[in-house]
Amino acid sequence: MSIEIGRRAFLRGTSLGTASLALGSCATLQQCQQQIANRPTRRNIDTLAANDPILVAYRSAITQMQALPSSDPRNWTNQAQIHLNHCPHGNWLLLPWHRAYLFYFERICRKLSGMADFALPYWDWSQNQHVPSAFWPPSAGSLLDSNRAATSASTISTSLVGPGVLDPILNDPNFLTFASGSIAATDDQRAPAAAGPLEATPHNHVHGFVGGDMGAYMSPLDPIFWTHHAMLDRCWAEWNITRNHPNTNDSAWTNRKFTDFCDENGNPVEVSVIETVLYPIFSYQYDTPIPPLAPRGARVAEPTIVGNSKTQQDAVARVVQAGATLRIDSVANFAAAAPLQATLAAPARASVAVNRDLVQRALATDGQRVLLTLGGATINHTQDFYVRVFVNRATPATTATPDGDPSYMTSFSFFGHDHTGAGDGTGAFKLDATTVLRKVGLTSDRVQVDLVLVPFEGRTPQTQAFSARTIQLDVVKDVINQPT
Amino acid sequence: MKRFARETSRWCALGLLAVLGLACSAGPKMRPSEATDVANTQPVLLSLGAPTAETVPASVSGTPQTLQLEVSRIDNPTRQAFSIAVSFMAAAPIMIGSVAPYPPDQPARLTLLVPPAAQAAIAATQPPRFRVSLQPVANDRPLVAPLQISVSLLALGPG
Repeated sequence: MSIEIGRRAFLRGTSLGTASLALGSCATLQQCQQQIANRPTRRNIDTLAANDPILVAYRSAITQMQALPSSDPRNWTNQAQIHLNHCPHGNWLLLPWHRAYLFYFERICRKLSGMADFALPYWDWSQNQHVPSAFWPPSAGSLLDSNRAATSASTISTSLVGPGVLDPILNDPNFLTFASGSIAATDDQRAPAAAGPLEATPHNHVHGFVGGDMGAYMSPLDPIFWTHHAMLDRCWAEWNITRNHPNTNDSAWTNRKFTDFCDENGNPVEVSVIETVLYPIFSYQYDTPIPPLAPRGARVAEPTIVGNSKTQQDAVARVVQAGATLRIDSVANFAAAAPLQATLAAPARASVAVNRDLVQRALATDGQRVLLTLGGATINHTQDFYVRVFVNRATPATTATPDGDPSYMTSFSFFGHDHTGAGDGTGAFKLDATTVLRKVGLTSDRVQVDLVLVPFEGRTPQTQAFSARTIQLDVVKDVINQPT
Repeated sequence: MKRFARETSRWCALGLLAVLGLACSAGPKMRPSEATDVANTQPVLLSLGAPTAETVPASVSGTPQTLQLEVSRIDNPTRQAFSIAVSFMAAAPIMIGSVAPYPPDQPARLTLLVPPAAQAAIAATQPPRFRVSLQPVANDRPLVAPLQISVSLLALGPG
């Protein structure tokens, strides 16, 4: 009896019926916690050898699904037809619908392959711009789709799917742009709104790049589909959980129900959107977070790592389920009159004319921030140096100025995006200047920004200078209504 | 535009509460009262013979954080993948980003984030002009005729 109470109490504590799906048959509280802690891990397919048990199981499951009779809803073609007939695109149901679709597909694979902890691998196209080798002979087996337009030599540009594209998307705090546009509760789930940047750019481009089945709504016929959408799902988990951006709490979204899927036994299931937000906490996890390109200025919250204790999991689940209503209002923008270039030998200073009263009011107001944006910035310095930023120092910062100086704001570096960014060899860095400005204050109608380049030890820099075409201070107001 | 106005009205339905002295709490919305029609733009036609065109957004409001496009018609019988690249026409064009419809013959509304580096320059330009161009998606798959799309820039504004 106490065992049952413990389990029920656990489920009640997490306030989710969906936890029972994730927990399966665990009997005790301890077993449930253990099961969550050991939940299956979705791994980068490029890290898996051809004979890795995950790929062996994936190939086996697909082969068996292809052999199932057409009367079985788990049949390979039937699974693809779920997508053909029901998939929402161009609205905010894209992410939860596909998350649920993958969730049940993964369970089918688990059952048919006999691998109890099977988890779908994902294709991280932000790092690998080729169709992964697992999908090509000689090892592909059932992972091959002969209809593909792409070949093993085809490359998709990083300007469409690279980290320079993905990182700004993941830093966008606005659910309505990140997750595609809203539709009403009474709208058909396929009603068009507007595809957000995640959908319109990497999602759509990858579908088209692979081509063939992947280029149409029968795309799940290509096993790549499931790894592509696992990556999309990883992006959402990263955005929501790791980077702390809240989903909407609009009931038109949270209460939407999907009835298009079947479970591992072929039985129809019903799942609501609010359940899907918990899957990455209780049902599976991703092997690695998506590394940010630079310190994030657009959000100040600390990243969240889901721990394995009940308290930690409950806390994250509550936040993720609660969502928020949010808005970022621009209050004012101030730009430096000239571009800026710093070299390893010579730090540089930009001077931005501002409305002092307005900025001081913002700094004194909760919910307002001052963001520093270095735009049109050179980014091909991954192996060479990082950049330290100082604000409103009485005298220009030098290479000897320590990080402990009150005017030290932050530093940023470059991450393998020599050919990404804005597509013209440049990128932008948005940094939060609020804390340092509150500390050092404004003594005039100008804000001084110093950049000091710091070379990496033991390397011979290939580049010597960092430049930014625009230096801008944005005063913004966060309107985030997150339930407590 | 009418459709867009309907959407924004729905998005900001809570804006009605402002009359009662309450703040709109429904996410970052385009406020119709702040939007201005800068031009009665017709969709531009892109094809392999004319893969590039310049146009202006039909609606501009507030901080230019997002740019919404509409691909209203696609003549692409072979369903080849293509990309639509968008650049802001400054003295030196600034790349905004690229979008694609999925499937590649499916009309759609598509949203791009405007890079922070471009926002100030765009805000200072009235009306802001953008170049849209057809591009292939894969390095080894050039676009082939027939391919013709109608694309328009619907709205430039806050997220």
